Amino acid sequence: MIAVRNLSVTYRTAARSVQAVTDVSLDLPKGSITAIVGESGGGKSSLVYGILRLLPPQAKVSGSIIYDGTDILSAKESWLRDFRWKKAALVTQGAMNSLTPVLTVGYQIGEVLRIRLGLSRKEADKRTAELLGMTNLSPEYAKRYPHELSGGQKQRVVIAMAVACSPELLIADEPTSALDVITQAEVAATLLDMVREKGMGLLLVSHDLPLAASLCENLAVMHKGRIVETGPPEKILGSPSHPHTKELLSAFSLIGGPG
Amino acid sequence: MRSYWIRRAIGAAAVLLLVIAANFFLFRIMPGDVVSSIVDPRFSPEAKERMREVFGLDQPLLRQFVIYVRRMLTFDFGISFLSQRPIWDELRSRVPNTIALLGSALLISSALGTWLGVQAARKRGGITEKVVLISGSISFSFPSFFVQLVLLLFLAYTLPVFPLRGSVSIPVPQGAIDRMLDYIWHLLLPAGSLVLLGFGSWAIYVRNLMVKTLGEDFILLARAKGFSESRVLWNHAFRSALPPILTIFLLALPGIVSGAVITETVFSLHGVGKYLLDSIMGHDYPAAGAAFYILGLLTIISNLAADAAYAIADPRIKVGRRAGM
Ligand SMILES: Nc1ncnc2c1ncn2[C@@H]1O[C@H](COP(=O)(O)OP(=O)(O)OP(=O)(O)O)[C@@H](O)[C@H]1O
Ligand SMILES: [Mg+2]
Repeated sequence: MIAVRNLSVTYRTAARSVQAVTDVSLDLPKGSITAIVGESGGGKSSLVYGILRLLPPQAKVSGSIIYDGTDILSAKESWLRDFRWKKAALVTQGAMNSLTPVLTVGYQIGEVLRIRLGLSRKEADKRTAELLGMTNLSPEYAKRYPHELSGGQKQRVVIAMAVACSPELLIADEPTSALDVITQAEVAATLLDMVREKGMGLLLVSHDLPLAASLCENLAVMHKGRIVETGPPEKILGSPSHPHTKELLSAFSLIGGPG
Repeated sequence: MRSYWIRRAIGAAAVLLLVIAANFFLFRIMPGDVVSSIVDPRFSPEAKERMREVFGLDQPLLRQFVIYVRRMLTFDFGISFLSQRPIWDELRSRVPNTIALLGSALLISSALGTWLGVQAARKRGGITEKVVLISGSISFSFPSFFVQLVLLLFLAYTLPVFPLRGSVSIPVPQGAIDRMLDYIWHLLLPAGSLVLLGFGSWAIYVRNLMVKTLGEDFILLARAKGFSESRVLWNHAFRSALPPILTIFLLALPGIVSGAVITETVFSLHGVGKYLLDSIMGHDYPAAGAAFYILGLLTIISNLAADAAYAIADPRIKVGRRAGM
């Protein structure tokens, strides 16, 4: 289990400082599915990147994030490197260029397997083909470069890469937000299949409150850097207590979103 | 893809033809009699007549040009006014010296500059970054002949650590190893000065590129994967920044000509650049044309090599992979 305690994140730039996360506490039990929803700029990405200690140097972080008795925020580099990807892996926002442009897809998946799991090149190739298959991509895609893939295919590759080391927790920051509606549903389904199949925990950041609520066990609503409401999704949707939650819900009923 | 190489080859051939054409016309629009710029005025009338025939000077310009192109391509440059010897015989021994000087200078300054640039980008606002940025701007804002003269004055004259002039000692040392060491000793100051003057622009350019690349999302993800900092830095960031770095390498190549002329002249090296200047000073037009042509040829060949490296480094250019697309 990962326990976030009193986490605050402040970005300090020359011009001004922005408090992105304020005093957030959150429990992520092993194997559970948690969703974070909230407005854009609410601090969701800052919170989840903090778990992998991936915030940029200008971010001042306070509080603690405890995994197995160790505070991730103050752990040694070597411990951190071992924690990353093996314990918690990341699927980035769909719009990002998450794949290194000059390396083939197969190389990039294989690199994780070779470097992090110590597989031989041959074993890694075989496993890469399996991972691509699991995310509904043909093994031939291993030979391709990122610019030869569609947005949805790239996101599948990122998912294949994220599950390569069978992490305990998959952190997915708006994994489908840059895709068209149909691809969104397919990629989301692939992601959930992988999570269920491997019994991984999932921390999902999403704009889509109804979708997030439909699949998570625990829902957290984030607003202006704070978690303003948290609990089982049916309870929150049934009787939202915070105005921001009501706002999010009404936004969806207005545009006739699913759910 | 094959079409990429065909395009490149055609491009190289076109540039080559351009260099030849420039040579051809330059020496024909010089003031004075056309003949006097191609045939030594001190030649006897019979000799002049023979040269006229050899150069086809009585024929139409186009025909002259065709003859000229063929002679350039076969390295048949004619006789030097100054030495009365075949020009190619004089140039042949100089080409390796020029390649050694410019090749080592270009490779070392780009490698050193690139390495420094990467180190500077590693930690923003760090001491390494400051040192590299400052030394880099000093390096590339100095006029080259000035720095070279100062170096020559202090390190070869006042403090005679390096030879004052030439590519080899006289008499030439015995034994292959001694001869090579002697050659390197003569090369150190000229090549070193070019490195000193050249690394700065590389360092600054590479640092800027790397700073940009290190901010990309795929770097964040590479870190998230728990890779070592050096794997993130070299295998992901540097590897991705390599294509634009090679582009700069391509752009730096034409500087070869001026670099060769100035450096070889300051250090009195037995090279093509010095030969070019000497020939121009002595109104030895065929020799100057030939030297210019050889420098152009060297540039074009290294250009092609850099192009090949670029194509390998950037998968967005298709080379010998799946046809089509
Ligand atoms: N590197 C940074 N430097 C300065 N400010 C930043 C930086 N990253 C984020 N911020 C600021 O922190 C706040 C929270 O940003 P964050 O990306 O965490 O929000 P988010 O909830 O993920 O938004 P979105 O849904 O649009 O992704 C925003 O005001 C943003 O402008
Ligand atoms: Mg975000």
